[in-house]
Amino acid sequence: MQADTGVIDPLLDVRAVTQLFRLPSPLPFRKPRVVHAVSAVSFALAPGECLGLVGETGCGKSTLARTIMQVPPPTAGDILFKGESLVTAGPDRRRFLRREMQYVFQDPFASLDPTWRVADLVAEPLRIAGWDRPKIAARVEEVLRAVGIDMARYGARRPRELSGGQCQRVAVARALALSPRLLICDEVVSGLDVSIQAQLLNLFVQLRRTFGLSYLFISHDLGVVRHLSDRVAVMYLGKIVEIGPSDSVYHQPRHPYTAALLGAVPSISRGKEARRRTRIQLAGELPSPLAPPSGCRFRTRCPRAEARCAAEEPPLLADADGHAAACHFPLAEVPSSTAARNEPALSLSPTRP
Amino acid sequence: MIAFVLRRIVQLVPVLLGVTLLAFLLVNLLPGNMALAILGPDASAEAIAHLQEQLGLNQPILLRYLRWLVHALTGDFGWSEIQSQPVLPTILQRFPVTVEIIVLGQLIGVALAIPCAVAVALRPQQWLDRLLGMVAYGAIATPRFLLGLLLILGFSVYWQLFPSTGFVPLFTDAVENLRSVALPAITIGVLEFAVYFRVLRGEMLRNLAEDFVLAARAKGISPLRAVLRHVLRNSAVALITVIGIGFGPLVSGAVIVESLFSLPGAGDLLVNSIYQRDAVMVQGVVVIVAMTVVLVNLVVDIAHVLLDPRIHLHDG
Amino acid sequence: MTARQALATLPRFAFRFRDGTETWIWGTVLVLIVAGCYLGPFVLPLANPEATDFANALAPVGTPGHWLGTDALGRDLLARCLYGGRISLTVSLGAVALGLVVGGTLGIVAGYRGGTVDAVISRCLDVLFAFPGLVLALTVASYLGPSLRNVTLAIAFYTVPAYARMARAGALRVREQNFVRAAQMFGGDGWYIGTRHILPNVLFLILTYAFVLIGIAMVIEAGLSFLGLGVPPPQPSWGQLIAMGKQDISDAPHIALVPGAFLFVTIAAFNRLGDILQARYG
Ligand SMILES: Nc1ncnc2c1ncn2[C@@H]1O[C@H](COP(=O)(O)OP(=O)(O)OP(=O)(O)O)[C@@H](O)[C@H]1O
Ligand SMILES: [Mg+2]
Repeated sequence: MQADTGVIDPLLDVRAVTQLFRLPSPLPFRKPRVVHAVSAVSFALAPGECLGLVGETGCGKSTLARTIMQVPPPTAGDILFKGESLVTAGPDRRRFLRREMQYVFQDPFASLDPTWRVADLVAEPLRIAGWDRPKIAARVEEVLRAVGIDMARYGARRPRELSGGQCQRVAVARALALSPRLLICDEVVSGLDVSIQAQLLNLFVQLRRTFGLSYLFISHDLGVVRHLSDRVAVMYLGKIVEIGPSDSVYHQPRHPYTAALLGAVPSISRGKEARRRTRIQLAGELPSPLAPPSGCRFRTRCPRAEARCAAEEPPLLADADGHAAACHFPLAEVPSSTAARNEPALSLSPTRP
Repeated sequence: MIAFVLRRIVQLVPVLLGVTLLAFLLVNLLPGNMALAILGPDASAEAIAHLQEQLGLNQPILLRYLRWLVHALTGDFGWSEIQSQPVLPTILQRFPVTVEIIVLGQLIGVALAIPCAVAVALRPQQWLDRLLGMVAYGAIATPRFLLGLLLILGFSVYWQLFPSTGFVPLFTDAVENLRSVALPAITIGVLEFAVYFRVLRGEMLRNLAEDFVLAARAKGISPLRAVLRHVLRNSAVALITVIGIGFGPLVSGAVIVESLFSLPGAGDLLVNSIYQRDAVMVQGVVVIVAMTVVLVNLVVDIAHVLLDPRIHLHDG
Repeated sequence: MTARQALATLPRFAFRFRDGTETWIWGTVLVLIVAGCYLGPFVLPLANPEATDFANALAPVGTPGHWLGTDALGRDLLARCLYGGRISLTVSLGAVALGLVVGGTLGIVAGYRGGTVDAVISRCLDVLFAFPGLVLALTVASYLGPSLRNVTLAIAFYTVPAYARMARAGALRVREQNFVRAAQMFGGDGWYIGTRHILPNVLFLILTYAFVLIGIAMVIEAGLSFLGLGVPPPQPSWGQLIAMGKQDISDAPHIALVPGAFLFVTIAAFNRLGDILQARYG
């Protein structure tokens, strides 16, 4: 299935990307079990755009992002960067293309080698790209300054001697070192204090302005995504179920899942307490990615599900302003946006239809 | 569970094949001419060539291996020219002695380790804990033949309680048999005790800190009963694992101990066959020993899964 | 365990000897023994270890001139132990060094590459592990023939798989870390990641394991020597000295016990230091 992504001349074009993980089978000579982490996902990203990607934990956001970076390469589908396929490119060409797209990991500590020093960590992409020493030193200092880290003071430290926020800044500096055009940010602020979250988010806004970056901004926190994104994609169990301009998705969600997520949307100021509420709203069992439901993957938790949902997979259909939802029975065009904000539009609990 | 056992058995096949291949290659590829060993250093070149021809030693090694393997699968491990004996029956005849000292040694180890570990777990960091810790440390650092020599010095030279050499079969005279294997079994048992004790102690202290034990203690169950009822059972799983891991080193120990105390076990057979360059016999002993180790580990793995309430096998 | 705690337990390369009285004691003992064995013959006024002196045969420990006594041929036990220790130590250290380099490399490759490479290497290790260390060493040593090099090789048949298993487990753990994925995304190849990320992160584990393995290697070497398959005379190692003392165990137990004490103390020191390092930093 090839959805029309509606973006002309995209920077990043993700075409029907699938990522499966084989788990070792319990019995010899049996079929291995397969995790359907990402299933036929398509979207595109225009130069300079920021696309938010939201979804529950375990829905495949990180896997999709890593697949875009070719670590590991997709099981099926194609990924085009500046119109050139990363999947079919030779190793050298791929390495070259990938310099302009960089990834910032979900966990800042784990993405920095504990035996390395900050200056070396930031220099790593430059070294691998074959820069020479004097240029590297200058560049390291420059990008560290851009993220607000003092080279003289922190350059010789190891990750464990930094705070969480500082680690994340170092990780961002590493990602910026090769002057990328696209930054994939995977839950870059989750797990940090709210004040530091805000600082980092401001950094991302500022970097976007200074370097003209495009973002794929991943989070399970809708408030954070909204803060930055031009468009938002909602993912459920390895599939994009809704994608469209931020305002349109936030105010007029079409997919019942999006509506449910929004029903408990926290504003960023309400912080942790509100996020806990999100979890409760979505507590109905997430089906196993080992055996995703037939047809629409959300149907097992969807109060509007009918026989057709199990039989037929809903296509991701876009309207004129590029707002698309994969649902046979999308929500009405004009729901009360205020209601959607304050109360759950739908209950996700299967026992209360 | 059955799936787990099946999977483990299927995994064993390449390992067992590898074991036989390695044993065969070790004994046959490396220098040390078998014909020369059989005929002695004075043999003429023609005689050696003739015997090599006769023993099939001139054929490609892989072919010889396959032939040997097919025979071995039917229980025929070959004929030792040097001992004028078939290999497998000779080994099987020696096996009971080795099994006896190993099992006795393990029993001594377990019988000492459990009460010591219980006592120490009840009052950790006290003098008894320190003392036993040091004893265990010392035992682990003592090679078995050194310990055996010390035991000979004490129990047979000084006190003359046990014989230092010789073996009386179990069915000839059970008491004399026990006397003759006492020192070897103690030599093996002391090190086993040290290893079991250290593992049990650590495991019991860890289990003691767990919630359900604390809950039991809170309900007024005495510390000793809490240890005996809850902790010991859980710690037994670790003990079984250690016994499994320790089986290979234990066999090494048995080789040394049999040699030191002149016991007619499989280890003694191995060492003597090596002295006599009896390649066929060495190969047979090595293969049987390695297969035993592999099978013991399989049994331990299965026991581990059966006993440990924390392991669930639903997905392999 | 959170990532932060996990990182806190990762290697620290500076050796801190805070409250390390015990570390100092064992360390000193070890340095004395090693230095005594390798330098003693040049520095100390030692007797020729092979020189017989029937007038002073079977001298007990504490005899002036023969502080650790003499054997049945009147040979000085101190000299024999120091010369013999050289063999024991050289063989064990050599086998462990071989294990570290060969086994460590194999383990890192298997752990990092995974897949078929890992499966093949792991099955080979399983095969080697099926043989009890001494049995394998005995077989290899007997068919290679006795010499310093061959005995070392024979013991390496134990140390290589032991090290490989250790390094593989470490590499498996490190390879799943995001900093490895990050390096892959920057375009680092297998060699780069293996040497720059995996190796530094498993190095400490590998080095402390050496202490434990040296103890085991010494036991195997002594066992081989005791069975007469060690390094051939005229260079008796500790194990051989003990075996020779066995005949006189009832009349002059010190002939076996003096080299026995050297062996015991050395193994204990290596074991203890290994445990302390592992407990503190592992
Ligand atoms: N290497 C792997 N092998 C097997 N399964 C995997 C692997 N990586 C991810 N998965 C599975 O794929 C699914 C998606 O995981 P992923 O980490 O992409 O989720 P996520 O949306 O990023 O969640 P979170 O918000 O917790 O980060 C999960 O079910 C996960 O268990
Ligand atoms: Mg994630």
